Amino acid sequence: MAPTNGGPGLAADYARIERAARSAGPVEMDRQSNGLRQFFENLRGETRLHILDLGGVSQANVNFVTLRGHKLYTGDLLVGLDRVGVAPREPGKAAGPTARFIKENLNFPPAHFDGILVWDSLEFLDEEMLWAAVSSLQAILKPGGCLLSFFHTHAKGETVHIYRYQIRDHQTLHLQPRCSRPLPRAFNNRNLERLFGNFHAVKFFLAKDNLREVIVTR
Amino acid sequence: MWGKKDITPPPAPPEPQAPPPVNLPQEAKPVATTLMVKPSEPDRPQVRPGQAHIGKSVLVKGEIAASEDLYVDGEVRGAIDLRDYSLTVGPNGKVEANVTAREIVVYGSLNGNVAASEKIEIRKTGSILGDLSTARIIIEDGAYFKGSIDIMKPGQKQEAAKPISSVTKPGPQHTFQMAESGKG
Repeated sequence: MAPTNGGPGLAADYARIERAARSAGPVEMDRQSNGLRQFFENLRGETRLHILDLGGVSQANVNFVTLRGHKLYTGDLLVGLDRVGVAPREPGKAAGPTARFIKENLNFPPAHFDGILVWDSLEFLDEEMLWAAVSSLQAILKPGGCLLSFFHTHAKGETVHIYRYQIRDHQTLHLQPRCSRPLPRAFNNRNLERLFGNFHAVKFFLAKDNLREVIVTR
Repeated sequence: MWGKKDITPPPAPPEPQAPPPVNLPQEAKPVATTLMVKPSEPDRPQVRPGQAHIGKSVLVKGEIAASEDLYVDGEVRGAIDLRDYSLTVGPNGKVEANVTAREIVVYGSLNGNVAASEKIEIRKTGSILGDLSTARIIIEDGAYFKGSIDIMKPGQKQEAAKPISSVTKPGPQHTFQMAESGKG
């Protein structure tokens, strides 16, 4: 039963991740995340930090963050996006979907958070919402604070699996299938540098499962 | 002959009732490993004897202060202060109030800030929009929560639920409606 090729289970792990990325059905799995490791390295040594998780609430993330003495805020950008997308605009109300989306999901005081976990929800926003969301994220992040975001490397229109990202430890994520959606656009490093151009630093990690992990520092 | 058979059944009913509760969980086990399948068994709380109960057709506007456990399956708007007792928001319950209690279990919806000295539990049908302060929190898969979580360390003084702040302004309540979504 022991793996015969490569390190102890490493090849098998990558094969499983790649298979999951290509297959029609999503698979629950663990994956290593350099972005997550970097995110928590940036916050190391600090306590009572304010962390915002925008991937929906999960017991694992609540435990991981609060056990380290931090305060966790949670929201769900995908749910927020669906609400704005599904709900018809009320007659007489001037606020468009972008303004509503920002108000309902990113309405926090300026420079409030030390870290923000966005996961892969940014890439499903339309162009206007995306830029407005990044601008809001920059505003609510403290100077020196960091943000972790994921972007698929698939082509525009390709359907990708969306997961709930549950933190196992400081560099391991448990991926729980959530739904599938077509990508509204493709991102490359240059697009991302432009998108986060107003931040202090942008760092990329390209994983073998077609996911680009981005750490942005304000 | 028929008459004799008709006479015998009365003692029997307890026996046929026994198997279903035993069999159901056993059959459900393999299903639970499949992520996209939602369990069909509804998760319903039990109203305990002696527990104060607000029924599902009741609407209360104002402040509730009690020295006993409270079960809310109706609607409460205002404030709930139970201090050393527990609050259960039933599946039909809709609470728009700041809540202070020892333990809070939510099957329905709660919109407000919550302070629980021991535990907050959000069951899979439950949703909370507000800021939470507690020693322990349990969140089932499928539950919805938007707001902040502050875990109080043992010995740390529990404060009453704060008025809704500008940091977390809960938006209108909603349910998770994503196509192909398996877990809310």
